[in-house]
Amino acid sequence: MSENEKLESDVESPIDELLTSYLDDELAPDERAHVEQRLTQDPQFRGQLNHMQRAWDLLDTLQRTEAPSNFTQSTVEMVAVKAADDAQTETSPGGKRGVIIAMACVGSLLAAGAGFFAVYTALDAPNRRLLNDLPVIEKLDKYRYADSIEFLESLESEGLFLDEETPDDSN
Amino acid sequence: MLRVRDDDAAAFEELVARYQDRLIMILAHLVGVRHQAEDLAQDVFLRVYRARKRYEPGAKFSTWLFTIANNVASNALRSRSRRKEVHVNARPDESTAMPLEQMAAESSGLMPARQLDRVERAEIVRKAIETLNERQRMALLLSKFEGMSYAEIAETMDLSTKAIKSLLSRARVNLRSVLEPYIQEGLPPLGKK
Repeated sequence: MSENEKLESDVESPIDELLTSYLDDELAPDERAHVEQRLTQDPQFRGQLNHMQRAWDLLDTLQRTEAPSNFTQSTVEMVAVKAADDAQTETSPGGKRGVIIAMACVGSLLAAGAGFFAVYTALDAPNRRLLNDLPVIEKLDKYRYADSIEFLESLESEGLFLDEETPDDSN
Repeated sequence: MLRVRDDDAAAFEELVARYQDRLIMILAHLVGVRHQAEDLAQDVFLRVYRARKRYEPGAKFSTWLFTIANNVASNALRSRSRRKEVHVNARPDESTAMPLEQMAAESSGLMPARQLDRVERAEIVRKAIETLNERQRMALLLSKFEGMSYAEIAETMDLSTKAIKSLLSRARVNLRSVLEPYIQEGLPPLGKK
C-alpha cells in the first residue's frame, strides 16, 4: 500500500473530515450547502464544528517569528561564498582531471614505447645476427673446402665471389 | 524568482528578506528548535539559489520554497532521530515551557485558576502542535499560516489531495483533543484564518 493510500484510508471520522473540509473551504458547492443545512438542524453537529474552529483559532496566539536583524545579510553572504566554492569545484576538478588524464596518456605511451623497444631489442638480436650471417650460412658447404678464413678473404679481395653475390643482391 | 534565476543578486536578497520570517516560523514549528530553524532556513535559501536555473516560470514560488523546506526539515528530523539526540530547550523563549499536562491541569482548575496570558497560551498551542506527527504538522502549518489550498499542500508534500484532506482532518481532531481544556474554559476566540 502506498503512502497516499495509507493516509487516504486513515479516516477516523467522516464527519470530522467533512467539517475540516468545510472550515478549509474545500467543499463543492452542493456539499457545502448540505453541511450548512445540517448545521441549522443538528446542535451536536454545530457543537463539533464550533470546537474544531475554536481549537483552530487558538493557533492565532502563536507569536509571529521574526528573523534576526542580520539574517538576510548573513544568508546572502553565505550563499555567495558557497556559490563561489561551487564554481571553483566545478572548474577545478575538471582541470585536475584533464591534467591527470593527459599524464596518464603520456605515461601509457611511454610505457608502451619502452615495452615495445625492450621486446624488439630482446627478440631481434638473434634474428639480426642470423640475417647478417645469412650469406655465410648459405655457402657454408663450399667454405668447408677452404683451409682458412684468410684464404677465403684473399679470394674475395680478388673479386672471385662478385658474380655469385650479384644474383643474390638482386633478389 | 525569475530575476534570481537570471543571476540578479539584489533580487535574491529581496527574496530572502521577503520569505525569511515565514520560513523560519514554519521550520521552527517543524523541528522545535529556533536556532536550528534559522540554520535550516539558510540551507533552504542556499538550495533555492543552487536550483534557480531549474525554476519554471509557471510554478508558484512559495510552493517551490516550502517543498524544499519540507525536504530539508524531514532530513534534519531523520538525522536527529538517528543520533537519538535529546532535545534540550536552551533559548529563553523556549525554556519557559512547562509540560502540556501541567498547563492543562492549571487551566482546568486543579491549580489556582487565573487568566492565562498571551505568552502562556502561545506556549500551550506550540506544545499542542508538537503532539502532531511531522506530516500533520506540516500540512497544518501550510494551511493555517501560508493559506495554501489542499492541492497546493499536496504538491508541496508530494502527496495526493485526498491524503492531505485526511491529514488535516486528523490534525484538527488531534489539536481539538489536546486543546479541549482551553476550549471548555471558554477562552475567547482569537480571530479566524
